[in-house]
Amino acid sequence: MNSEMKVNIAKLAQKYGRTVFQSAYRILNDTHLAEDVVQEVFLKLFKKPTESFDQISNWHGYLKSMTISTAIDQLRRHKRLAEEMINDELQQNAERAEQPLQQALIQADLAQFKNALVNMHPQDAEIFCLRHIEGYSYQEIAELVNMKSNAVGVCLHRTQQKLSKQLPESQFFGEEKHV
Amino acid sequence: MSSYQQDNVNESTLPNWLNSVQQNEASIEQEDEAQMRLMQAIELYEVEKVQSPKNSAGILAWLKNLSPTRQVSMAFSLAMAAVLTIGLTVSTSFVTPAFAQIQQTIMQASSMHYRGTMLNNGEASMEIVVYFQQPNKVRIETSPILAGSRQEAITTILDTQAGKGLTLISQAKIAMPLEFAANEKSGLPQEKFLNWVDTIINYEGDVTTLSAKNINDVFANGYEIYENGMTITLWVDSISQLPISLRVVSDSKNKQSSFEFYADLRFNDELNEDLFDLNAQEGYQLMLPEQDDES
Repeated sequence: MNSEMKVNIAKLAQKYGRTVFQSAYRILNDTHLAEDVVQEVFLKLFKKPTESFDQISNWHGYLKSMTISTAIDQLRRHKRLAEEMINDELQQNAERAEQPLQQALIQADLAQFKNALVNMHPQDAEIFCLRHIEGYSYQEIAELVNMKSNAVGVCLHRTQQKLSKQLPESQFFGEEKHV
Repeated sequence: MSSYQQDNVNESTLPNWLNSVQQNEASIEQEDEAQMRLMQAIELYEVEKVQSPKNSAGILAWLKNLSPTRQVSMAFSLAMAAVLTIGLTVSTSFVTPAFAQIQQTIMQASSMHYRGTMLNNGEASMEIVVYFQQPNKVRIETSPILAGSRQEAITTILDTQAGKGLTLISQAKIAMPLEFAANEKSGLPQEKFLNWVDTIINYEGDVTTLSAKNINDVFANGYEIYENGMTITLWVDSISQLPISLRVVSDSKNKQSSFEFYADLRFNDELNEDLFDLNAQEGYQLMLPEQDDES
Protein backbone atom coordinates (compact mmCIF):
# COMPACT_ATOMS: atom_id res chain seq x y z
CA MET A 1 0.00 0.00 0.00
CA ASN A 2 1.31 3.41 -0.75
CA SER A 3 0.25 6.99 -0.81
CA GLU A 4 -0.63 6.74 -4.49
CA MET A 5 -3.23 4.12 -3.67
CA LYS A 6 -4.62 6.34 -0.96
CA VAL A 7 -4.89 9.19 -3.40
CA ASN A 8 -6.66 6.95 -5.90
CA ILE A 9 -9.12 5.73 -3.30
CA ALA A 10 -9.76 9.29 -2.16
CA LYS A 11 -10.50 10.24 -5.75
CA LEU A 12 -12.96 7.38 -6.06
CA ALA A 13 -14.58 8.42 -2.81
CA GLN A 14 -14.94 11.99 -3.99
CA LYS A 15 -16.51 10.85 -7.22
CA TYR A 16 -18.75 8.05 -6.01
CA GLY A 17 -19.01 8.45 -2.24
CA ARG A 18 -22.34 10.24 -2.26
CA THR A 19 -24.12 7.96 -4.69
CA VAL A 20 -22.82 4.92 -2.87
CA PHE A 21 -24.04 6.35 0.42
CA GLN A 22 -27.53 6.80 -1.00
CA SER A 23 -27.54 3.22 -2.24
CA ALA A 24 -26.65 1.97 1.22
CA TYR A 25 -29.22 4.25 2.80
CA ARG A 26 -32.02 3.00 0.56
CA ILE A 27 -31.43 -0.52 1.78
CA LEU A 28 -30.64 0.18 5.41
CA ASN A 29 -32.80 3.25 6.00
CA ASP A 30 -30.34 4.38 8.63
CA THR A 31 -27.70 7.05 8.13
CA HIS A 32 -25.27 5.63 10.67
CA LEU A 33 -25.42 2.12 9.28
CA ALA A 34 -25.19 3.46 5.74
CA GLU A 35 -22.09 5.45 6.67
CA ASP A 36 -20.54 2.34 8.20
CA VAL A 37 -21.19 0.42 5.02
CA VAL A 38 -19.75 3.10 2.75
CA GLN A 39 -16.61 3.41 4.84
CA GLU A 40 -16.24 -0.36 4.93
CA VAL A 41 -16.53 -0.49 1.14
CA PHE A 42 -13.89 2.13 0.50
CA LEU A 43 -11.52 0.91 3.19
CA LYS A 44 -11.76 -2.59 1.73
CA LEU A 45 -10.16 -1.16 -1.38
CA PHE A 46 -6.94 -0.71 0.57
CA LYS A 47 -6.69 -4.50 0.80
CA LYS A 48 -6.85 -4.94 -2.95
CA PRO A 49 -3.67 -5.45 -4.94
CA THR A 50 -2.70 -2.25 -6.69
CA GLU A 51 -2.67 -3.98 -10.08
CA SER A 52 -6.32 -4.99 -9.75
CA PHE A 53 -7.40 -1.36 -9.79
CA ASP A 54 -6.57 -1.14 -13.47
CA GLN A 55 -8.76 -4.12 -14.22
CA ILE A 56 -11.94 -2.45 -13.01
CA SER A 57 -13.57 -0.55 -15.85
CA ASN A 58 -16.91 0.19 -14.22
CA TRP A 59 -16.10 1.69 -10.85
CA HIS A 60 -19.60 3.03 -10.41
CA GLY A 61 -21.10 -0.42 -10.76
CA TYR A 62 -18.32 -2.10 -8.85
CA LEU A 63 -18.73 0.15 -5.84
CA LYS A 64 -22.51 -0.06 -5.91
CA SER A 65 -22.34 -3.82 -6.09
CA MET A 66 -19.94 -3.88 -3.13
CA THR A 67 -22.14 -1.48 -1.23
CA ILE A 68 -25.30 -3.47 -1.74
CA SER A 69 -23.56 -6.68 -0.83
CA THR A 70 -22.09 -5.11 2.30
CA ALA A 71 -25.42 -3.53 3.25
CA ILE A 72 -27.17 -6.86 2.95
CA ASP A 73 -24.44 -8.43 5.07
CA GLN A 74 -25.05 -5.70 7.57
CA LEU A 75 -28.75 -6.48 7.63
CA ARG A 76 -28.07 -10.16 8.06
CA ARG A 77 -25.59 -9.55 10.86
CA HIS A 78 -28.20 -7.54 12.63
CA LYS A 79 -31.13 -9.68 11.68
CA ARG A 80 -32.48 -10.09 15.14
CA LEU A 81 -31.84 -6.48 15.88
CA ALA A 82 -33.46 -5.45 12.61
CA GLU A 83 -36.60 -7.32 13.45
CA GLU A 84 -36.73 -5.66 16.83
CA MET A 85 -36.14 -2.30 15.25
CA ILE A 86 -39.07 -2.45 12.90
CA ASN A 87 -41.66 -1.42 15.42
CA ASP A 88 -39.36 1.15 17.01
CA GLU A 89 -38.61 2.72 13.64
CA LEU A 90 -42.25 2.89 12.77
CA GLN A 91 -43.08 4.68 15.94
CA GLN A 92 -40.11 7.05 15.91
CA ASN A 93 -40.43 7.99 12.27
CA ALA A 94 -44.12 8.56 12.62
CA GLU A 95 -43.50 10.93 15.50
CA ARG A 96 -40.85 12.89 13.58
CA ALA A 97 -42.53 13.11 10.23
CA GLU A 98 -44.40 16.16 9.02
CA GLN A 99 -47.03 13.82 7.68
CA PRO A 100 -46.90 11.16 10.36
CA LEU A 101 -49.34 8.68 8.90
CA GLN A 102 -47.95 8.78 5.37
CA GLN A 103 -44.38 8.59 6.62
CA ALA A 104 -45.18 5.77 8.96
CA LEU A 105 -46.66 3.73 6.14
CA ILE A 106 -43.60 4.24 3.95
CA GLN A 107 -41.39 3.27 6.87
CA ALA A 108 -43.48 0.17 7.33
CA ASP A 109 -42.84 -0.76 3.72
CA LEU A 110 -39.12 -0.22 4.13
CA ALA A 111 -38.90 -2.20 7.32
CA GLN A 112 -40.77 -5.13 5.82
CA PHE A 113 -38.59 -4.96 2.74
CA LYS A 114 -35.42 -5.09 4.83
CA ASN A 115 -36.78 -8.09 6.61
CA ALA A 116 -37.49 -9.81 3.32
CA LEU A 117 -33.99 -9.11 2.03
CA VAL A 118 -32.48 -10.71 5.08
CA ASN A 119 -34.39 -13.91 4.40
CA MET A 120 -33.15 -14.16 0.83
CA HIS A 121 -29.92 -15.73 -0.37
CA PRO A 122 -27.33 -12.91 -0.22
CA GLN A 123 -26.48 -13.03 -3.89
CA ASP A 124 -30.14 -13.15 -4.91
CA ALA A 125 -30.79 -10.13 -2.75
CA GLU A 126 -27.84 -8.30 -4.26
CA ILE A 127 -28.92 -9.00 -7.81
CA PHE A 128 -32.46 -7.96 -7.04
CA CYS A 129 -31.30 -4.64 -5.59
CA LEU A 130 -28.93 -3.97 -8.47
CA ARG A 131 -31.76 -4.53 -10.91
CA HIS A 132 -34.78 -3.00 -9.25
CA ILE A 133 -33.32 -0.36 -6.98
CA GLU A 134 -30.24 0.71 -8.89
CA GLY A 135 -31.60 -0.02 -12.36
CA TYR A 136 -28.69 -1.94 -13.85
CA SER A 137 -29.22 -4.06 -16.97
CA TYR A 138 -28.93 -7.84 -16.95
CA GLN A 139 -25.64 -7.57 -18.80
CA GLU A 140 -24.19 -5.04 -16.37
CA ILE A 141 -25.25 -7.17 -13.41
CA ALA A 142 -23.81 -10.26 -15.02
CA GLU A 143 -20.45 -8.53 -15.32
CA LEU A 144 -20.58 -7.18 -11.81
CA VAL A 145 -21.41 -10.48 -10.11
CA ASN A 146 -19.47 -12.62 -12.58
CA MET A 147 -22.47 -14.57 -13.87
CA LYS A 148 -24.01 -15.15 -17.26
CA SER A 149 -26.79 -12.84 -18.28
CA ASN A 150 -29.29 -15.69 -18.50
CA ALA A 151 -28.44 -16.80 -15.00
CA VAL A 152 -29.11 -13.29 -13.76
CA GLY A 153 -32.57 -13.43 -15.35
CA VAL A 154 -33.35 -16.75 -13.73
CA CYS A 155 -32.16 -15.52 -10.39
CA LEU A 156 -34.27 -12.38 -10.65
CA HIS A 157 -37.39 -14.29 -11.58
CA ARG A 158 -36.96 -16.67 -8.67
CA THR A 159 -36.28 -13.83 -6.25
CA GLN A 160 -39.20 -11.77 -7.41
CA GLN A 161 -41.58 -14.67 -6.95
CA LYS A 162 -40.31 -15.26 -3.46
CA LEU A 163 -40.54 -11.62 -2.58
CA SER A 164 -44.03 -11.23 -3.95
CA LYS A 165 -45.16 -14.03 -1.67
CA GLN A 166 -43.28 -12.77 1.32
CA LEU A 167 -44.23 -9.16 1.16
CA PRO A 168 -47.71 -8.13 2.10
CA GLU A 169 -49.31 -5.35 0.12
CA SER A 170 -47.55 -2.05 0.43
CA GLN A 171 -48.83 -0.09 3.39
CA PHE A 172 -48.41 3.23 1.69
CA PHE A 173 -48.76 2.63 -2.02
CA GLY A 174 -51.21 -0.17 -1.44
CA GLU A 175 -53.46 2.20 0.46
CA GLU A 176 -53.12 4.85 -2.26
CA LYS A 177 -54.11 2.38 -4.89
CA HIS A 178 -57.40 1.76 -3.17
CA VAL A 179 -58.23 5.42 -2.74
CA MET B 1 -40.64 1.06 -18.84
CA SER B 2 -39.57 0.23 -15.33
CA SER B 3 -37.37 -2.72 -14.50
CA TYR B 4 -40.09 -4.61 -12.69
CA GLN B 5 -42.44 -4.32 -15.68
CA GLN B 6 -39.70 -5.68 -17.91
CA ASP B 7 -39.15 -8.51 -15.51
CA ASN B 8 -42.85 -9.30 -15.09
CA VAL B 9 -42.76 -8.67 -11.42
CA ASN B 10 -46.06 -9.16 -9.68
CA GLU B 11 -47.46 -5.69 -10.04
CA SER B 12 -50.07 -6.16 -7.38
CA THR B 13 -47.53 -5.80 -4.61
CA LEU B 14 -43.85 -5.72 -5.47
CA PRO B 15 -43.72 -2.48 -7.48
CA ASN B 16 -45.24 -0.63 -4.60
CA TRP B 17 -42.57 -1.85 -2.28
CA LEU B 18 -39.96 -0.88 -4.77
CA ASN B 19 -41.38 2.60 -5.02
CA SER B 20 -41.01 2.99 -1.29
CA VAL B 21 -37.42 1.82 -1.39
CA GLN B 22 -36.48 3.87 -4.46
CA GLN B 23 -37.92 7.01 -2.94
CA ASN B 24 -36.06 6.50 0.28
CA GLU B 25 -33.17 8.97 0.16
CA ALA B 26 -31.04 10.57 2.80
CA SER B 27 -31.11 14.35 2.95
CA ILE B 28 -28.41 16.48 1.36
CA GLU B 29 -27.15 17.35 4.84
CA GLN B 30 -26.87 13.70 5.79
CA GLU B 31 -25.13 13.02 2.50
CA ASP B 32 -22.67 15.87 3.08
CA GLU B 33 -21.84 14.65 6.56
CA ALA B 34 -21.39 11.08 5.39
CA GLN B 35 -19.14 12.22 2.58
CA MET B 36 -17.03 14.30 4.91
CA ARG B 37 -16.60 11.43 7.34
CA LEU B 38 -15.80 9.06 4.49
CA MET B 39 -12.99 11.33 3.30
CA GLN B 40 -11.73 11.59 6.86
CA ALA B 41 -11.80 7.83 7.30
CA ILE B 42 -9.78 7.36 4.14
CA GLU B 43 -7.40 10.08 5.09
CA LEU B 44 -6.87 8.65 8.56
CA TYR B 45 -6.58 5.07 7.39
CA GLU B 46 -3.36 3.74 8.79
CA VAL B 47 -0.73 3.43 6.16
CA GLU B 48 2.53 1.59 6.27
CA LYS B 49 5.02 3.18 8.58
CA VAL B 50 6.52 5.95 6.57
CA GLN B 51 10.20 6.35 6.02
CA SER B 52 12.00 8.36 8.58
CA PRO B 53 12.23 11.89 7.34
CA LYS B 54 15.90 11.73 8.25
CA ASN B 55 16.40 9.33 5.39
CA SER B 56 14.31 11.18 2.89
CA ALA B 57 15.63 13.02 -0.06
CA GLY B 58 14.09 16.10 -1.55
CA ILE B 59 13.25 19.17 0.41
CA LEU B 60 14.89 17.83 3.54
CA ALA B 61 18.15 17.30 1.73
CA TRP B 62 17.92 20.82 0.50
CA LEU B 63 17.20 22.12 3.96
CA LYS B 64 20.27 20.40 5.34
CA ASN B 65 22.29 22.48 2.93
CA LEU B 66 20.45 25.67 3.62
CA SER B 67 22.47 27.61 6.16
CA PRO B 68 21.93 31.32 6.21
CA THR B 69 25.03 33.31 6.94
CA ARG B 70 25.63 36.75 8.30
CA GLN B 71 25.37 38.08 4.80
CA VAL B 72 22.01 36.44 4.42
CA SER B 73 20.93 37.70 7.76
CA MET B 74 21.12 41.21 6.39
CA ALA B 75 18.20 40.32 4.29
CA PHE B 76 15.90 39.69 7.23
CA SER B 77 13.51 38.01 4.87
CA LEU B 78 15.45 34.79 4.71
CA ALA B 79 15.04 34.03 8.33
CA MET B 80 11.31 34.37 8.11
CA ALA B 81 11.04 32.24 5.03
CA ALA B 82 13.49 29.62 6.22
CA VAL B 83 11.61 29.44 9.46
CA LEU B 84 8.40 28.65 7.68
CA THR B 85 10.03 26.25 5.27
CA ILE B 86 11.77 24.35 8.01
CA GLY B 87 8.67 24.38 10.09
CA LEU B 88 6.78 22.70 7.33
CA THR B 89 9.26 20.14 6.28
CA VAL B 90 11.68 18.99 8.90
CA SER B 91 9.45 17.72 11.62
CA THR B 92 10.71 14.27 12.49
CA SER B 93 8.05 13.38 14.99
CA PHE B 94 6.01 10.30 14.19
CA VAL B 95 2.85 11.76 15.60
CA THR B 96 0.11 10.07 13.65
CA PRO B 97 0.19 8.07 10.45
CA ALA B 98 -1.89 10.74 8.75
CA PHE B 99 0.37 13.57 9.82
CA ALA B 100 3.52 11.62 9.05
CA GLN B 101 2.12 10.81 5.64
CA ILE B 102 1.66 14.51 5.00
CA GLN B 103 5.22 15.19 6.05
CA GLN B 104 6.45 12.59 3.66
CA THR B 105 4.34 13.92 0.81
CA ILE B 106 5.69 17.39 1.38
CA MET B 107 9.24 16.18 1.33
CA GLN B 108 8.69 14.47 -1.98
CA ALA B 109 7.41 17.65 -3.57
CA SER B 110 9.39 19.01 -6.47
CA SER B 111 8.50 22.61 -5.77
CA MET B 112 6.79 24.73 -3.16
CA HIS B 113 5.30 28.17 -3.32
CA TYR B 114 3.55 30.08 -0.62
CA ARG B 115 2.23 33.54 0.00
CA GLY B 116 1.60 34.63 3.53
CA THR B 117 0.86 37.53 5.81
CA MET B 118 2.36 38.12 9.22
CA LEU B 119 0.42 39.98 11.86
CA ASN B 120 1.59 41.52 15.08
CA ASN B 121 -1.05 42.34 17.65
CA GLY B 122 -3.67 41.74 15.01
CA GLU B 123 -2.22 44.14 12.47
CA ALA B 124 -0.61 43.01 9.24
CA SER B 125 3.10 43.77 9.40
CA MET B 126 4.58 41.88 6.48
CA GLU B 127 3.75 39.93 3.36
CA ILE B 128 6.00 37.03 2.49
CA VAL B 129 6.24 35.11 -0.77
CA VAL B 130 8.50 32.09 -1.10
CA TYR B 131 9.36 29.90 -4.08
CA PHE B 132 11.36 26.74 -3.73
CA GLN B 133 12.43 24.54 -6.61
CA GLN B 134 14.10 21.21 -6.10
CA PRO B 135 16.87 20.62 -5.46
CA ASN B 136 18.60 23.86 -4.67
CA LYS B 137 16.77 27.04 -5.59
CA VAL B 138 14.84 29.39 -3.38
CA ARG B 139 13.42 32.86 -3.69
CA ILE B 140 12.01 34.86 -0.80
CA GLU B 141 10.19 38.14 -1.16
CA THR B 142 9.26 40.17 1.88
CA SER B 143 7.20 43.32 1.82
CA PRO B 144 6.86 45.26 5.08
CA ILE B 145 3.48 46.78 5.76
CA LEU B 146 3.68 50.18 7.39
CA ALA B 147 0.56 51.97 8.50
CA GLY B 148 -1.48 49.59 6.39
CA SER B 149 0.56 50.34 3.31
CA ARG B 150 2.55 47.60 1.62
CA GLN B 151 6.16 48.66 1.02
CA GLU B 152 8.39 47.55 -1.80
CA ALA B 153 9.76 44.06 -1.51
CA ILE B 154 13.18 42.86 -0.47
CA THR B 155 13.99 39.72 -2.42
CA THR B 156 16.55 37.07 -1.62
CA ILE B 157 17.46 34.44 -4.20
CA LEU B 158 19.63 31.48 -3.24
CA ASP B 159 21.36 28.62 -4.96
CA THR B 160 22.16 26.39 -2.02
CA GLN B 161 24.34 23.96 -3.96
CA ALA B 162 26.52 26.76 -5.23
CA GLY B 163 26.44 28.61 -1.92
CA LYS B 164 25.54 31.79 -3.73
CA GLY B 165 22.71 34.21 -3.52
CA LEU B 166 21.45 37.63 -4.39
CA THR B 167 19.47 40.17 -2.42
CA LEU B 168 17.43 42.70 -4.34
CA ILE B 169 16.22 45.82 -2.59
CA SER B 170 13.68 47.11 -5.03
CA GLN B 171 13.09 50.51 -3.47
CA ALA B 172 16.79 51.46 -3.66
CA LYS B 173 17.39 49.39 -6.79
CA ILE B 174 20.36 47.72 -5.14
CA ALA B 175 21.50 44.17 -5.80
CA MET B 176 23.79 42.47 -3.27
CA PRO B 177 25.45 39.15 -4.14
CA LEU B 178 25.79 36.70 -1.26
CA GLU B 179 28.08 33.82 -0.51
CA PHE B 180 27.45 31.45 2.32
CA ALA B 181 28.84 28.25 3.78
CA ALA B 182 27.05 25.24 5.14
CA ASN B 183 26.33 24.75 8.82
CA GLU B 184 26.64 28.36 9.81
CA LYS B 185 23.54 29.12 11.80
CA SER B 186 24.52 31.99 14.03
CA GLY B 187 23.55 35.53 13.42
CA LEU B 188 20.03 34.93 12.29
CA PRO B 189 17.77 37.89 12.78
CA GLN B 190 14.36 37.55 14.32
CA GLU B 191 15.47 34.64 16.44
CA LYS B 192 12.29 34.71 18.37
CA PHE B 193 10.62 33.11 15.38
CA LEU B 194 12.97 30.17 15.58
CA ASN B 195 11.26 29.20 18.82
CA TRP B 196 8.28 27.95 16.95
CA VAL B 197 10.45 26.27 14.35
CA ASP B 198 12.05 24.24 17.11
CA THR B 199 8.63 23.49 18.42
CA ILE B 200 7.59 21.85 15.18
CA ILE B 201 10.85 20.05 14.59
CA ASN B 202 10.83 18.46 18.01
CA TYR B 203 7.10 18.04 18.31
CA GLU B 204 6.07 14.61 19.58
CA GLY B 205 2.68 15.30 21.06
CA ASP B 206 -0.83 14.76 19.85
CA VAL B 207 -2.14 16.06 16.58
CA THR B 208 -5.69 17.34 16.74
CA THR B 209 -7.70 16.48 13.67
CA LEU B 210 -10.12 19.24 12.78
CA SER B 211 -13.38 18.92 10.90
CA ALA B 212 -12.73 18.87 7.20
CA LYS B 213 -13.86 21.82 5.14
CA ASN B 214 -13.81 23.18 1.63
CA ILE B 215 -11.15 25.78 0.91
CA ASN B 216 -11.45 27.26 -2.57
CA ASP B 217 -13.32 24.16 -3.74
CA VAL B 218 -10.68 21.85 -2.31
CA PHE B 219 -11.80 19.34 0.30
CA ALA B 220 -9.26 19.84 3.06
CA ASN B 221 -8.49 18.06 6.31
CA GLY B 222 -7.27 20.12 9.22
CA TYR B 223 -4.52 19.35 11.72
CA GLU B 224 -3.55 21.37 14.73
CA ILE B 225 -0.64 21.11 17.08
CA TYR B 226 0.11 23.20 20.12
CA GLU B 227 3.25 23.59 22.16
CA ASN B 228 5.34 26.29 23.76
CA GLY B 229 2.72 28.91 23.24
CA MET B 230 2.15 28.36 19.54
CA THR B 231 -0.79 26.84 17.74
CA ILE B 232 0.00 25.65 14.24
CA THR B 233 -2.87 24.72 11.97
CA LEU B 234 -2.41 23.02 8.63
CA TRP B 235 -5.16 22.43 6.08
CA VAL B 236 -4.30 19.59 3.75
CA ASP B 237 -5.81 18.68 0.39
CA SER B 238 -7.46 15.33 1.01
CA ILE B 239 -6.41 14.02 -2.38
CA SER B 240 -2.87 15.27 -2.86
CA GLN B 241 -2.06 15.10 0.87
CA LEU B 242 -0.30 18.43 0.52
CA PRO B 243 -0.97 21.48 2.67
CA ILE B 244 -2.87 24.28 1.06
CA SER B 245 -3.17 26.58 4.02
CA LEU B 246 -1.14 27.28 7.16
CA ARG B 247 -1.80 29.36 10.22
CA VAL B 248 0.53 29.95 13.13
CA VAL B 249 -0.67 31.81 16.20
CA SER B 250 1.33 32.60 19.30
CA ASP B 251 -0.31 32.48 22.67
CA SER B 252 -0.57 36.11 23.66
CA LYS B 253 -0.68 35.20 27.35
CA ASN B 254 2.95 34.11 27.24
CA LYS B 255 4.19 36.80 24.92
CA GLN B 256 4.53 40.50 25.16
CA SER B 257 2.84 40.74 21.81
CA SER B 258 0.78 38.29 19.85
CA PHE B 259 2.09 36.93 16.58
CA GLU B 260 0.10 35.38 13.78
CA PHE B 261 1.09 34.10 10.40
CA TYR B 262 -1.10 32.62 7.73
CA ALA B 263 -0.25 31.49 4.25
CA ASP B 264 -1.64 29.80 1.18
CA LEU B 265 0.63 27.05 -0.04
CA ARG B 266 1.10 25.35 -3.37
CA PHE B 267 3.26 22.38 -4.26
CA ASN B 268 4.61 20.81 -7.42
CA ASP B 269 3.91 23.80 -9.65
CA GLU B 270 6.34 24.41 -12.49
CA LEU B 271 8.17 27.54 -11.47
CA ASN B 272 9.66 29.98 -13.93
CA GLU B 273 13.47 29.74 -14.01
CA ASP B 274 13.68 33.54 -14.06
CA LEU B 275 12.55 33.59 -10.45
CA PHE B 276 15.92 32.13 -9.46
CA ASP B 277 18.18 34.23 -11.68
CA LEU B 278 21.25 35.22 -9.65
CA ASN B 279 22.24 37.95 -12.06
CA ALA B 280 21.38 41.47 -11.02
CA GLN B 281 18.37 42.66 -12.94
CA GLU B 282 18.57 45.57 -15.29
CA GLY B 283 18.34 48.88 -13.47
CA TYR B 284 19.84 47.53 -10.26
CA GLN B 285 23.16 48.78 -8.89
CA LEU B 286 25.42 45.90 -7.94
CA MET B 287 26.80 46.25 -4.41
CA LEU B 288 29.45 43.74 -3.38
CA PRO B 289 29.52 42.45 0.23
CA GLU B 290 32.79 44.32 0.97
CA GLN B 291 31.14 47.59 0.05
CA ASP B 292 28.34 46.86 2.45
CA ASP B 293 30.73 45.95 5.29
CA GLU B 294 32.59 49.19 4.87
CA SER B 295 29.44 51.19 4.99
